[in-house]
Amino acid sequence: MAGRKIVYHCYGGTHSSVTAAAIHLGHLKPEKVPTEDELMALTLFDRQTKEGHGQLHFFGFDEQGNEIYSVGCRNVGQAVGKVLGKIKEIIGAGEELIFVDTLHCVNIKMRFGGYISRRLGFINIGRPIVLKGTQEAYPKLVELVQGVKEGAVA
Amino acid sequence: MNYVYLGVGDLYLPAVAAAIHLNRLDINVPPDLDELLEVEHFRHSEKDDEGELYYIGNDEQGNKVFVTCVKGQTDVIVRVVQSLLGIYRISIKEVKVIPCEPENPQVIGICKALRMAGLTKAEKKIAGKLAGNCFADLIQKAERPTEQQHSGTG
Repeated sequence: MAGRKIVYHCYGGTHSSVTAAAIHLGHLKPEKVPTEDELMALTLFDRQTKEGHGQLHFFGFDEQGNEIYSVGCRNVGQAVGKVLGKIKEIIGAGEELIFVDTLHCVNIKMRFGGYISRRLGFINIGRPIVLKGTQEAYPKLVELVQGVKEGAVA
Repeated sequence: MNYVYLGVGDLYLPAVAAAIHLNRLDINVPPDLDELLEVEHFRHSEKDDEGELYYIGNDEQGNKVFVTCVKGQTDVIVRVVQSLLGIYRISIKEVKVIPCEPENPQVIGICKALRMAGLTKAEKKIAGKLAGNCFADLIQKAERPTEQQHSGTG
C-alpha cells in the first residue's frame, strides 16, 4: 500500500477529516479518546476558513510511506472525488489516490457546533460543542481509519 | 494542456463553451436552438454526471477539451484541481478548470422543474435562451487557440 496519496475529506476540512488524518499518522492514539487540548493541538482543527475549502493539506507520511492529506469539499465531496480521479488519469499520475469520506462519522454535535463556530463565527459557543461531538465520534473515526489502513476502504 | 468547462446543475453552458473552444459554433452569430441541440452534451445532467469528465475533442493545438458539472461550489473544484496538480508537481497550467455559471442560478431550477414536469421541450427552449444570453460571456471564457495565436503574432 506504500506510495499512495490518501485524502480524508469532509464538509469543511476542519474536524472529522483532520482528526482522521491525525489518527492515521499516529498523532492520536486509537485506543484513547483525545482530550480537548489534544484535539485543539491538531493543525487546522476548527480553524479552517471557507477560502481553504478545496485545498489539499498535507499532514505527513504514514509508516508505510503513504502521503496523508485532508480537504474540505463542502457538499460536493463525491463529485470532487470523481473529478480528481479523472484528472489524475489525464495527467498520467501513477501514484494511487484514495479519497476517503469521513462525513458519515460526523454526528449532530459536530455539525451543529461546527456550523456555529465556522459558519457563524461564534467560536466560544460552537467550539466546545464540536469538541464534545468529535470525542463521541472518535471510535467511528478510528474504525474508518483502520479500514483504510487495512485496505478495506479504497 | 487540458481544458475542463465546468457547469452548475447541468451541462448546457459548458457544452456551448467547449463547442466555441473547438470552433464548432460560429461566434459571430448567436446560435439558434436547432444549432444548440446539435452541440455535444448540450443537455441536463443526471446524478452520475456530477464530476464525470466528458471528452469533447482536441483543439488545433492538440489541447484536450472536457465538460463536466457539479451541483454547486465551483470554487472548491477549481481549488482542489490546482491543489492536486501541486501535489503531483505538475504545472497548474496543465489543467484549466473554467466555471460556466449562469448569472441567475434560478434558471437551473426552472429547467429542472420543467423536466420533472415532463416539459422537456420547454426545458430545452429555456436552456437555449440561457445559452443565447450567455453566449458573449461564453466566448470570453472559451479559450480559442486560433485567436490566441493571432493575437500573439499580431
